[in-house]
Amino acid sequence: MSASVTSAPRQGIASLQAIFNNAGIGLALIGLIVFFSVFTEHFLDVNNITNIMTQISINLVLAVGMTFVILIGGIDLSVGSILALAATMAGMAITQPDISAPVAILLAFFAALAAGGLCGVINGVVSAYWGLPSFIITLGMLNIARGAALSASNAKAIYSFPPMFNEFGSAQIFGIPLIFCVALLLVAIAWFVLTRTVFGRLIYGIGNNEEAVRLAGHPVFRYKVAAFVICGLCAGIAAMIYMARLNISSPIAGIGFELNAIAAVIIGGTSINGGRGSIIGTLLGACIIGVLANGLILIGLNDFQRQMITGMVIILAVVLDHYRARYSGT
Amino acid sequence: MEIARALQSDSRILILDEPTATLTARESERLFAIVRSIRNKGVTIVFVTHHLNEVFAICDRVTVFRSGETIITENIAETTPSNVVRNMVGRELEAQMIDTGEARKFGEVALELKDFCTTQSPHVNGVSFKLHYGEILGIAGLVGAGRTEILRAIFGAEPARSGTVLRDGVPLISNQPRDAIDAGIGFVTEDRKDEGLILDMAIAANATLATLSRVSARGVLRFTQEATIAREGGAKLKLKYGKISDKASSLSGGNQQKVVLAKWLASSPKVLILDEPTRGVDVGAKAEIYAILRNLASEGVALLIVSSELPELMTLSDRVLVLANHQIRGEVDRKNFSQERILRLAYNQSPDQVEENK
Repeated sequence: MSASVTSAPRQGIASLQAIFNNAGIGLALIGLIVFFSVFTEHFLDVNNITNIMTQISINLVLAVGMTFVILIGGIDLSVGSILALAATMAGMAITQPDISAPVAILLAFFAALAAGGLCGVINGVVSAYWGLPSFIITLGMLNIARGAALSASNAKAIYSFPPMFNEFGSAQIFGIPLIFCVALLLVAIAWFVLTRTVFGRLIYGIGNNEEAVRLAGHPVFRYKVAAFVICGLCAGIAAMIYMARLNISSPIAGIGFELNAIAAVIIGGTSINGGRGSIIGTLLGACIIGVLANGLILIGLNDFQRQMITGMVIILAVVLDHYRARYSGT
Repeated sequence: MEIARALQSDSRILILDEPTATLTARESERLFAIVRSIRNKGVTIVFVTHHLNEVFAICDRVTVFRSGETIITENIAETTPSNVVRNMVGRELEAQMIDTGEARKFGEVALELKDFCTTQSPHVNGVSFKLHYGEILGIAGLVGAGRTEILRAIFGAEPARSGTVLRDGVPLISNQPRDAIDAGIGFVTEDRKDEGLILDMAIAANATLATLSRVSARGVLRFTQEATIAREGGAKLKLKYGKISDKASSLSGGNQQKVVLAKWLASSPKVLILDEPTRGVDVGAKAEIYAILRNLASEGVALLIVSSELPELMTLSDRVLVLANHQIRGEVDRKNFSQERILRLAYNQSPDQVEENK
C-alpha cells in the first residue's frame, strides 16, 4: 500500500524527465520557434535567422568551454572578464604598426589564446590544488582579469583593425555567418572529445565520483586544470569573435557574459553538480536563449521584461534538473 | 527518522528493507523492541535483511528468494540458520563455501611491509608483514584499528608516514595510485558508492576504468573493445545485468561489487587488496565472490583482505593478522582459527596504550 503511494509521483516525474532530456530540450526549442513564427511577423525572415545565429555565436563558444568546467562539478564566473582581457591583448597585438595584416591577426589570435589559457591555468591550479570552490576562485579572477584589461588598455577601447579581420566578422558561407560556423566547429570538436575520448570519459567520471577516478590511477588534478584551461581558451576564441563582429576591443566587454554561458549549459540539461550533461544540450540551450532574446523583442517586450523571462527559464531548468537527479536511478 | 515516520503512520502493513544497515547494535536492539510491540498490535511486518541473526531474532516466518524466484517459505520455529543459508546459496555454491582446509603451497614474497606507518598511527613503530603469491592474508581488527588506512597507504591513496613497501623485493615508491597499479596492485575499496563505482556511468565504462589504455587508441575510445572486455569480465564473475551499457546504479549490491572486481581483474593484478569485499552483498553473491577470490589465489595472485566479518576472514584466509590501534597484535594460522582467539587479540590492550589514553 505504502509502496504504491510513493511510486505514483515517481512515474509521473519519470515521464516528465523523459520529455526534458536532450530530445525534450530540442522540442522546447522547436516549440519556441513555432510560437514566435506564429505570433510575430518577421521571426522566420532570413535576415532575422542570420541575426540570431550571429548573436548566439559568442555565448555558444563560451558555453562550450563552460560545459567542461560544469561537468567536473565546477563553475567559471570569470569568462566575461577573461574575454575582455583576451580582447585587450589581441587588440594591442593586432594594431601593432609595421606588420602585415595576416601576421597581425595571427599574433592577435595567439595573444587572445595565451591570455585565456593563462587565466584558465590559474583558475584550475588554484581551485584544484587546494580543493577550493571554483565559485570563489573564479569570482576573484573575474576581478583580476577585468582589472588587468582596464590597466593594460588605460581603460580605452582599441579599434581600427585590419579590414580583412573585420570582414571575417560579417562574412557568410551559404548564408550562414562564418562566426557561427566557427562556434559550431567548436561544438563538434567538444562533442567528439566528451563522448569519444578517454579525456571526456574521465571528465564525466570526475564530476560523478572523483575518488573512484583517482583510485583507478588517473591524474585528477591535471584533468581538472585542463577543464578550466579549455574554458579559458574558449573565452579567448570568443574574444576574437567579439572583435571581428564589433570591430572594436573594449576592456569593458563581456560584462555578465558568464551568466548567459552558465544559463545555456544549465538549460541544456547539464547538472550543476557535475557528471551529467551533454554538449548537444549546451548547443540547444544557447539556441533557446538566443531565440528567446530575439523573439521577445519582436513580440514587443522591453529589455527588463526579457531579462525576467530569461531568469525564469534558468530557474525552470534547474528545477527540472533537480528532478532528473533525484529520479534517474541513483 | 524514516523508521519513526513509518511507525507513526497507522499502516496495517509495514515493510522494512534493511532497516539496520545504518544502525548501531544498540539502536538495532531498540528497533527490534519497537517492531515486536507493533507486531503485537496486529500489524503485519515484512522484514528484508542480509543478516540471518536478525531474521531469527524477530521473525515468525522466513521466505528465501534467489535470482528473483521464491525458493521456500518456512516457519522460524521449524528451521535453522544453516538450513536457510543452504536455501539461499543453493547446492553447488554451498559446496564451495565449505573449505578443503588443507594448507596450500605459496610462491615467493609478493608484497612486504617493513615498519610501515600510516599518518594516523600514534606509534613510532609501524607494521611489518609478508604476503606471498597465491596466499590469502586476512587482516582482522576493530573499527579504528587502522586497517583501511594501511591498505590505502600501500596503494598510494594516502601518503604513508614512514616505512617501506617492497613489491617483489623492490621498494615501491607509491605516491599515487598510478604507481601501485603499474606495480601490479589492485585495490577494491571499502565503499563502492563513494570510491569504487561511478554509478551514473555504464557498466562497461566502470569495468574498464582502471584499464582505459586497453580500450583506447591515442586517447580515442574503442567502444567495441570496451564492451568485449567488460562482457568477458562480467561472464567470468557471473555478473547479472541487462545490457552492458546500463548504468552501474541499475545493479544490485552484489553485482555492483562484481563490477568493481571486474575493473581490477581487467588490469591483471599480481597483488589484489580488498577492503570489506562483501559488505552489503547478499549471501549468494557472497559465495560467488569467495569462489572468485579463491580461484585468483590458486592462479597465484596474492590477496590481502580486510574484513569486519570474522567468518568471512576464516573462510577465505590462509593466515589472519590481528590489528589493534595501528599495530599488529598477533597472527593466527588457518589451523588455529577461532573467533575467540582473533577477538581476544583484537581487544587486547597493551600497557603503553593505556598510558596514552590517560
